[in-house]
Amino acid sequence: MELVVKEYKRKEKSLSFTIKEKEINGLTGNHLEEILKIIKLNGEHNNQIEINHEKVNEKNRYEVKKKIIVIEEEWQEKSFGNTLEEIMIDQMKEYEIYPKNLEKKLKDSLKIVGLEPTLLTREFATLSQSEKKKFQISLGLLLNPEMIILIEPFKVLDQKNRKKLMMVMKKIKENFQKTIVIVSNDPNILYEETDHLIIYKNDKILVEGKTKELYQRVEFLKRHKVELPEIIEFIYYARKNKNAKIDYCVDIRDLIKDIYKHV
Amino acid sequence: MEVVLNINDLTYENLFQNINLNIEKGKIISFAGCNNCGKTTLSRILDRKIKGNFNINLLGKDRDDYSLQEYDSLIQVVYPDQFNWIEETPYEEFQMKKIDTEKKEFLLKKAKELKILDKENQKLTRKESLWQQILLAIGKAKELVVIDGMDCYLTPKETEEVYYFLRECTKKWKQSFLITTTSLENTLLADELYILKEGEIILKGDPLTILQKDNLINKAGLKVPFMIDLSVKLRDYDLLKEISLEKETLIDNLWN
Repeated sequence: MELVVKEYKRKEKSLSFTIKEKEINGLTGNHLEEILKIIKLNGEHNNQIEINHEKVNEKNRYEVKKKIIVIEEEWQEKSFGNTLEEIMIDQMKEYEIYPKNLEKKLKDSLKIVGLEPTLLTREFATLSQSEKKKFQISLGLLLNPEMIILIEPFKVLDQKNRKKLMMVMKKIKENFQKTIVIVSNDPNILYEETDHLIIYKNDKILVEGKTKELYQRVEFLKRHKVELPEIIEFIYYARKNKNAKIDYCVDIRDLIKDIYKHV
Repeated sequence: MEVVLNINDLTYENLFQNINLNIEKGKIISFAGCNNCGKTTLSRILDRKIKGNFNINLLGKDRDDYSLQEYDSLIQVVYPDQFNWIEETPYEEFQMKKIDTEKKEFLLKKAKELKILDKENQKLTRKESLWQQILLAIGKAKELVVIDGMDCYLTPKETEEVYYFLRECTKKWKQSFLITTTSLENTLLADELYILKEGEIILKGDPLTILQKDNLINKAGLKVPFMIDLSVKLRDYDLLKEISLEKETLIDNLWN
């Protein structure tokens, strides 16, 4: 799913940006709730938003909205049942999804995020922080969305689980052609994990483009007080202050190889 | 140094095997481990929410010999997603609690600085609620505050601010803190770092020394902070003699 916003009028400013299809998109900046409202199709939409080249209007808006799932940073308590199974069934009813083999569908949704199917009968309240986060994601996947927006998904996850979750997202993107949006204020995560980045600052799109290229525009980003990935900052200072001939890279091992060659 | 809390040979279900932990007066301890390694369980054991035949001493006395009221006045546990309010605002919550006047003023000053003092409890963000709970716990507990999963809803910068504030409290009232975390990002600000893996403490000691054991840390499912990781690897390749925590120093050492 590709979402294109063209000259969306907001607070006397005009916003234009693209959520790229079948890519892992990153979104960062301040007051992101404003831009998220647009992406979630919750704001006004006077033909300024296009989804897969089709304009969103009052007629098709709710159909399209069903295809976009937001995994919030915090669990939104609702009047669901207590066990994971009950919560999942309630969620599917809400979205009018009735699979032929319900049990398999529920178990598969848990398995894909690395949760044991035996957890179906567990009470939600007894899950750990990381299990709750994984469950929240599996609940979103259950609805077979075309676009998955994850808001600060890694805060409660350790390194290993973060890598596993990203592997799942990459698989979903590649095998099922889904569009992923990671909303985060951690530049290290965005640099390592996203393909396309949108930086929203002071009610406007500061810049958007390929993440790796965009983060190399250090002077520009510094001028606009955008936090940089640590590895970029290190390389930038080494190049600037010592004229070091090292290339921008993502992996710390590549940086070390480069330092080894040039020191 | 006076020991506030000691846990001896703690074994619990499949989570812990013979865990030993000593917390000295006025110290900040970071207790790190991957997801589901038992950090919250440890907090709940210390909170006496999980009962059992544990050998845990508080100020040299078996903790079971304390009444609930006595125990609560010495230890408080803060959880990242459990907020129990009685009153409407943080200010009113503070007025309800029995807190020493000087300490209360200090904590209220911080709450004011954070702009949460007169905000409705229901309207506090997660970060603000966590701050409120931490300030109240510091007010109520004379000896030890356990903060479970502190980094769950805070950015590394926000976590750093909490650490600096806790340090002020250790200096003013000799309070101790036990912080459980999955992120090692700010653990250098602690006095001691414990790393838990599969029910056992695999590393403990001065944070800078511990953080250099990158292989063991990675095996525990955790990530070494960037500057330490880079320094250690460069040192292993004989490109650097000493660990640098500042990028400018590291760059100077490499290219001079």
